[in-house]
Amino acid sequence: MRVKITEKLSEIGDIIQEVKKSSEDIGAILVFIGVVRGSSPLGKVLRLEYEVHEKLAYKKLEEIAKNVKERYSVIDIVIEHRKGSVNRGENIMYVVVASKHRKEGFEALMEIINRLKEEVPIWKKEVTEHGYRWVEG
Amino acid sequence: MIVNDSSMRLYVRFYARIKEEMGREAVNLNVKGNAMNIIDLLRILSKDKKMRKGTLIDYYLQGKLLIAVNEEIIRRNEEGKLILKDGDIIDIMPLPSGG
Repeated sequence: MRVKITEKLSEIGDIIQEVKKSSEDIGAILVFIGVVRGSSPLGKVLRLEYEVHEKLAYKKLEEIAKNVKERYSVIDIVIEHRKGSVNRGENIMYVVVASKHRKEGFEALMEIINRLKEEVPIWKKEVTEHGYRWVEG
Repeated sequence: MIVNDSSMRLYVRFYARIKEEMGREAVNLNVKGNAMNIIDLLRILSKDKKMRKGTLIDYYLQGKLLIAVNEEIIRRNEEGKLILKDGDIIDIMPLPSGG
């Protein structure tokens, strides 16, 4: 289990290989990739700019991963999230969950994404052709 | 800085939209008295000339702030119970919007 906040995400294939090695009991690997959408109510999106309270964000991400891993009895979890500037079409984050069966894997994945958006001190500024706005949590 | 017995120093940091609205990343406050909670602090900061009057306390009342003291997030509705002490570092943040 690991979490990372970074300007450059790992290769997704490498993460999948990494979690596969954690147990021979793995029967499902769920992958979520967040991507910078090209449009918003303000118009064409150029990029998202992420600001992070790193110490609190790491603490919260680790807490979420540990809590979800225990609650859903999944085998392994990797979370990576970008910081700084992320252009349209680029990947923002990966959440990878390895489980024995798909059901608990999907449930764990959904909970991690929802809690990440609601609880982890990361903020995004959406920069468009017509200006910018801080996205409300 | 000379601080008398009934004053305390607080270091307040701002993040994201709050930082932009406050026009700075952080502020050192030297406040009188020693029985201040976070809501009292927000009232003081809401008088800041750089920010529209009352904005921070309004955000708080609307449930739009995330607050940490010494890098521990304070649960909603606990803000009034925690008494700040000399040397505390307070982070005032908007609600998260990651992902």
